Amino acid sequence: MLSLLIKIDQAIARAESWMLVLFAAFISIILISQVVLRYLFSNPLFWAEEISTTLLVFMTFIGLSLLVHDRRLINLMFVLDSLPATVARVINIILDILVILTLSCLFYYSLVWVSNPITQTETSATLKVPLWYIYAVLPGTLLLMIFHYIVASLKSVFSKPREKSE
Amino acid sequence: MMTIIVFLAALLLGMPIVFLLAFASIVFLLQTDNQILFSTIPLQLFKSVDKNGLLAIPMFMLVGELMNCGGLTNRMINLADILVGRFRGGLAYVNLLTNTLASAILGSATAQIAVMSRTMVPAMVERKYKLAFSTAVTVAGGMLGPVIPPSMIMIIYGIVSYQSVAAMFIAGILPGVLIAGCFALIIFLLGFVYDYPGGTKKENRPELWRTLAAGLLPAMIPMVIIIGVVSGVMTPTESGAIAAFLALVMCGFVYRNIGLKDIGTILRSVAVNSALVISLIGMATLFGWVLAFESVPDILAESLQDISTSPIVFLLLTSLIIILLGTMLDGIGVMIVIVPILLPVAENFGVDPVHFGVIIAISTIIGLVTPPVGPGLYIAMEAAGVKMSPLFYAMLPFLGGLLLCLLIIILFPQLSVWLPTYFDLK
Repeated sequence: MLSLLIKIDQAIARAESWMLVLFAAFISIILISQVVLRYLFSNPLFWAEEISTTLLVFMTFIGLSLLVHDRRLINLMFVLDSLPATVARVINIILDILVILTLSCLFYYSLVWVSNPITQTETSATLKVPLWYIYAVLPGTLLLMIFHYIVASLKSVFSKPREKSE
Repeated sequence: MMTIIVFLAALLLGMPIVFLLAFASIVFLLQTDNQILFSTIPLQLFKSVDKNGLLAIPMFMLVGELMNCGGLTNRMINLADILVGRFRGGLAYVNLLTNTLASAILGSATAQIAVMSRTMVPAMVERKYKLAFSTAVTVAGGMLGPVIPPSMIMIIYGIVSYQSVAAMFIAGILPGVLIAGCFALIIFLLGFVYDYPGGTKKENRPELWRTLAAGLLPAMIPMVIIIGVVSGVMTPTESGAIAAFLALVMCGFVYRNIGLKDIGTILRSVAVNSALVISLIGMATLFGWVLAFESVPDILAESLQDISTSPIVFLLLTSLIIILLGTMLDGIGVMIVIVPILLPVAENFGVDPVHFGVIIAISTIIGLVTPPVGPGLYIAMEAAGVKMSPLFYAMLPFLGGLLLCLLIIILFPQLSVWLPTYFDLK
């Protein structure tokens, strides 16, 4: 069961990683061509600003989800490292549960926000895309983050202390 | 009060900072009976990331990655060697000057220390400099990164504090020159202790010109950024895009040292690192918004003003807090957490926000190289293969010099504020 979850977890992370490369490439291409078009041809793209900012939002939240999977988030290590291994494990589990609760709370309220009838009628400024398509990235990636977090904690609970299953 | 205890406990025990900020926001809203605000959290979070100005961050990261990958640092070393390599103890000055040039490009102290330790330290050891001293000079040079424009930490400060990025860039110049000059003086004085080897011999003319040209070409990129931003012609994002384009052309077509395969790796690391920073900014903005609801910054300012009404005492306290936090955390992380809480307080004390930003930038680099945890030290130790205690002793004169510079900069706000005012950027 756990190994299946880990497999799904890794597949999601691979997909996220590829999406990030694509987003970064699109953002760079749009911004560079925007500057060239504006200063060489005085003919900027009217949609460039909106699209690139939206892509940045996607990149940020998907990137955060991948960072959760890779365990590359910035935190303080030295207190836990100086505690006995068993105590550190218990504290880690408590912290994981607190983070999962926090993320679930954010997930719940962002779902309420996205499905709100008033939110559903808003459209974007230049391209008139329904905004909730874009807003949906928040509950979507929060769900992925919760999943990554749960799998990572399960992994650390069920693995033996020194040999981490990787 | 409970929020503070929960915040500190979770911080010390190692909850990731991004989620800690969200967690503390929720605890604070529960504690102050503001549950009604929960439903606006997602919108606030989304809005704090959905900002055009933030696009500058991936662009500048792209420039840094391209310059790094393209092996441009080696050309900078050769350039610096021509300019200052002839003097006694020449390579130490070369190291410092290269770092000053490279910091204009890389803009992240840890990345810079890692790159320079791998290239500069072996070169110095080969010419019979002491290992610990060579590494200490490299780390000292790396500390210039966040101050000399264009620097990532100044861009992020500009964004989170709603200051003009152009003003922040220019504000870093005089303090940066002061620190670099101070370090050069320290190297000169240490010459009486360490007995440096002599300088390098002169090369023949055509060779010299070729090195000069090869080194000046990459140095153009930061110049484009600074001129573009400061003249007000381009936004920081646009000048970042131009610089990325130039760096790409330079590495891809002139030097031909990066291929299509490297681009994928570069883009991935740009995306992940940007996400790391921007998600922190988003969550910290959310936290600042939550705190403002109960006017926490005002209360904090009042209680601090009970201790002392002097802005200098406040700035000294702030630096101390940042240095302490900085010994444990990455500088950008410290800054993002500190600014939303302390900037309103600073304004209450009548401190100029630009001046405040310069002080924060310098304080974060001191924390970066201070044991027990200083990440900058560990990176250098690993890259150069030197032990903690000899490195730290060799670092002490530079740390002392930097603290002195920080004190001078705190006492004389003109150092940071005069140039931006002169160029009419504020």
